[in-house]
Amino acid sequence: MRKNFMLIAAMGIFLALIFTAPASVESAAAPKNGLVEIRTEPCRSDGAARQGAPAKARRGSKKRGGAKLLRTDREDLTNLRIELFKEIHPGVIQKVQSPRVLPDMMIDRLLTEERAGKHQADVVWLQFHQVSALERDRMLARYVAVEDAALPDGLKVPGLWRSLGNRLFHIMYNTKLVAAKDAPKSWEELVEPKWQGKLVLDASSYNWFVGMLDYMGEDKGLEFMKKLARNGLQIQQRRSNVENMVSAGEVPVMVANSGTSTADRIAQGEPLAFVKDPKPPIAYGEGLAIMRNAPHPYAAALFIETVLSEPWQRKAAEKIKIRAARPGVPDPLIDSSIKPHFVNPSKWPTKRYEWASVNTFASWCARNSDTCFAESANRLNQTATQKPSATNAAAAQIGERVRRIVELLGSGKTLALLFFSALLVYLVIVPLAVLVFGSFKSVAPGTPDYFTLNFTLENYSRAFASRYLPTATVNTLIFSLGSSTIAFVLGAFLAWVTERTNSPFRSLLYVMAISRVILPGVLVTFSWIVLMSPEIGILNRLLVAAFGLKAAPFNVYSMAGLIWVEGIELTPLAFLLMASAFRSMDPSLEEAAMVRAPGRCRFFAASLCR
Amino acid sequence: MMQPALLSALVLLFIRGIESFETPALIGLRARIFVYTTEIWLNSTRAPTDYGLAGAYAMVLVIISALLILVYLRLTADSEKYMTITGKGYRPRMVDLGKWRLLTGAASMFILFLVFVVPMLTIAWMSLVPSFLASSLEGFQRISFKAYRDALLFPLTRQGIQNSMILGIGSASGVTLITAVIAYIVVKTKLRGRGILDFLTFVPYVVPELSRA
Repeated sequence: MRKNFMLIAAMGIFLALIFTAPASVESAAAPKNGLVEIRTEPCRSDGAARQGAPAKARRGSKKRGGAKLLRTDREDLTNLRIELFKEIHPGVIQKVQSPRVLPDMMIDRLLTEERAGKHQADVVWLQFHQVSALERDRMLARYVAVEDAALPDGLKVPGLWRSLGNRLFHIMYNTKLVAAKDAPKSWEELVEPKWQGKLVLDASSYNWFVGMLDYMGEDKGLEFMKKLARNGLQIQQRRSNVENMVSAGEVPVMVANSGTSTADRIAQGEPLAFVKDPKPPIAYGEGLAIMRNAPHPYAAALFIETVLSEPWQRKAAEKIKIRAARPGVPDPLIDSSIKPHFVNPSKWPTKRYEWASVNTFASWCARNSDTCFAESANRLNQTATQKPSATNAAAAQIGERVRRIVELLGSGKTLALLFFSALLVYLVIVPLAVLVFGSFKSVAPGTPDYFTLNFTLENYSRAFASRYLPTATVNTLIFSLGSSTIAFVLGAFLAWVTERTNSPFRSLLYVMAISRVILPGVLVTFSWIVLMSPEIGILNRLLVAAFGLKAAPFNVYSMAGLIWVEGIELTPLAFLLMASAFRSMDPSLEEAAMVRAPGRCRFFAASLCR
Repeated sequence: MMQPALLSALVLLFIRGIESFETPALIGLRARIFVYTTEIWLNSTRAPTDYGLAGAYAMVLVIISALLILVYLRLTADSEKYMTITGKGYRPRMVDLGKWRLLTGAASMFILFLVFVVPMLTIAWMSLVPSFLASSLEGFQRISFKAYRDALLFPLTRQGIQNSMILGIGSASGVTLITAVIAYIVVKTKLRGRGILDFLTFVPYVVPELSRA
C-alpha cells in the first residue's frame, strides 16, 4: 500500500515538474518556440551603401543568407503578411522570430544580442515606442526607403522607420448590454454619467492615449483622461482578456480596441458590435526598420520596399483585411474616406515613448486610473535611465572556476561533499549573488563599469520611494497569513483523517491531492474567477436565482477572495507536507537508525526493512 | 510530538503565500489589492527590463524568506530530539472513529470537492463552451470540442508539448539525482559541513521565482 503511494507520489511530482517547469523557462529564454524556419536563396550582402538597395538586392549574389525578421504581434497576421511577401520574392526570408511572451521582451533580447556582439536580426517590426528604444541605443540603420515618400507623416520617421499599415481605434461593446442606438459615437461621450463604471481599457492602449493627447493638446487631453478615469474606467491587462470580459458581459464597453479581432469575434457569433469610427478618428502605425548591424541589409531593404509598394499593400488590404499605410488603397473593413489622425512620432520624441512601455503604463493604471493618467504624463518628461539586461555568462564563468577548484580538492566522500556544495553554490548562490550584486549597480551588465566596485544604493532608494510599499507590505502579510492558515487547517484535517483514522475514502484523497498539484495553479485561479466574479460568476448567478438575492453573494475581487483562492490552491501541498509528518515523524532518520543497528532490524516486521 | 513538523509545514506554506504571484496578479490587480510580488512586477518590468530595481525589491523578499527558512530549519532540527523517544518500532496508532467516520468522511469529501472537483469541473466546462457563454444556460446548447481541435491544430502546440517533455524529464531526473546524493550525504554521513549542504538546498525556496526568471 505504502509502496503504491510512493509510486503515485513520485509520478505526481514528476508530472508536476513537466507541467510547471516550462512557464519559468519560457520567460528566461524565449527563442525557439516562435521560430519559423524558411529556406533561403542567395542574396547579396557586401556592405556597400544601403541607399537604393532594392535594385541591387534583386540581382542576388554568391553569398548565402536571407533577411531575418524580428517582430512581435499577432502571429497569424504576421505569417499571412510574410506569405504574401514570399509569393513575390520566394526564399528571401530566412527566419521569423516572434516570441509569444511579453512584446517588450523582444527589446531585451535585441539589446542583449547587441551587447554580446551577435548580430542576427535584419529587420525589426515592432511598436513605435519599442523601435524608438532601439533608436536611442543607435541600433537602427539609416535607410531612406524609396517608398517612404508615399506614406503620410504620422506613419514614418524619414530615414529610420515606417509603418506597414495603420490601425484605427474603435469602441467595442456588448450587444446584450448596450443597444446600438445608445452606443457612444465619440470619445467625448464616454465621460457622460450614463457610462459610469461601464468602461474598460486595455492597459497597453498607450497609442490611443498618445493619439488623444496629440489630437486634443496635452492639457486638454489629460483633462479628458482624468474625467474618464473619474467615470469609473477600469484598466486591465492583455487585450484578449479585456475582449473576453466585454464578450462575457463583465463590463459593457471596451474603450479603445483596434485591428480585426472585434470583427473576428463577431463572425464567431459573440454578442459584440463596434462603433467603427468614434470622433475624432485616432490611428497608429508600427515601426518597421533595418538593424544597423544587419547581416543581410539588402534583403532587408528588399523586404521593406516590397511591403510598402502599392501592389503589395492592395493585396494585403484585400487578403488580410488590414488598413494599408499608403493612402489611396481601399479599406477592407471601414469606410476608406475616414481620414484618421496619426500620432506624429517626431512630435513625441524618443524619450516620450519611454512611459508607453506596456507595463510602465499599466503599473500606474492598475492602481488607480486617475493617478494612472497623471503619472503617465509625468513620465513623458522624464528621461529614463537606461537599464541593463543581466547576462549570466560572467557568473557562470565564476561558478565554473569554483567547481574546478573543488574538483581538485580532496577525495572520496569529502570530494563528493565539496562537489555537491559547489554544484549547489553554482545553482543556487550564484544567481542569488548576481541578484544581490545587480541590485547595487546602476549600469548594465556587459558595460565596462559593471564589474568595478562602484556600488550605488540608487535602486534601493527608488524601490523604497514607492509610496505603495507600506500598503503592499500589510497586504502581503494579511494575504499570506490568511491563505496559509486556510491551507494549514484544511490540509492538517485531511492529513489526520488519512493517516490516523479509519475514515472512508482515504486513498482517494491522495490521488486527488497529487492530481491537483499537477494542475497549474493558474487554472485553479481562473476557475474561481469564473465561479465567483460578481458579474458573471456561475456560483453567484445560481445563488441569486435560487434564493432571489438582490446582489451577488461572493466577490472574488476582494482580499477575502484572494485569500480563499490561494488557500484552496495551497491545500493539496499542505496535505502532502503534513501527511508524511503524520505518517512518521521523519522517515529518513528512521532508516538511518536502522542502518546503524541492522541486527535489531530483524526483530521487527520484515516489511519494514525491505 | 507533531508540533515541529506541523509548524514547519505552516512556515513553508506562509513562504509560498508571500511568494505567490499568479493569484495576486489575476485577482489582486483587478481588485486593486497589491502584494509584494505584484508590486515588484509593476514597478520593475518595462522595456528594457530594469534588473537593478527588480533586484532591490527581490532582496526584501529574500531576507524575509531567509529568516523564515532559518525558523524552519531550527524546527526540523529539534524534531530529532522527539524522534529518539519514539524509536524505530513506532507505528502510528489508528484511531477508530466509530460513528464519527461518516462525519469525517463527508467533511474530507467536501474539502476535496472544493480543492479538486470544483476547479476541474469549471475548467472542463470552460473548455467546452465559448467563453462569453460560460455563465449562462445557453452554454449547454453550444457545447463543442472546438477548443480542443484548435489547440491540437495550433502548430506551436506540438512543439510546446515536446519542449515540456524534454524539459520536464531532463530537469526532473537531474534534480532527483542531485538531491538523492545530497540527501545521502546529509543524512547518512558524518562529514563535517554537511549542514551547509542542507541549508543550501533550501536557498532556492528563498529566492522568489519571479526574480530568478
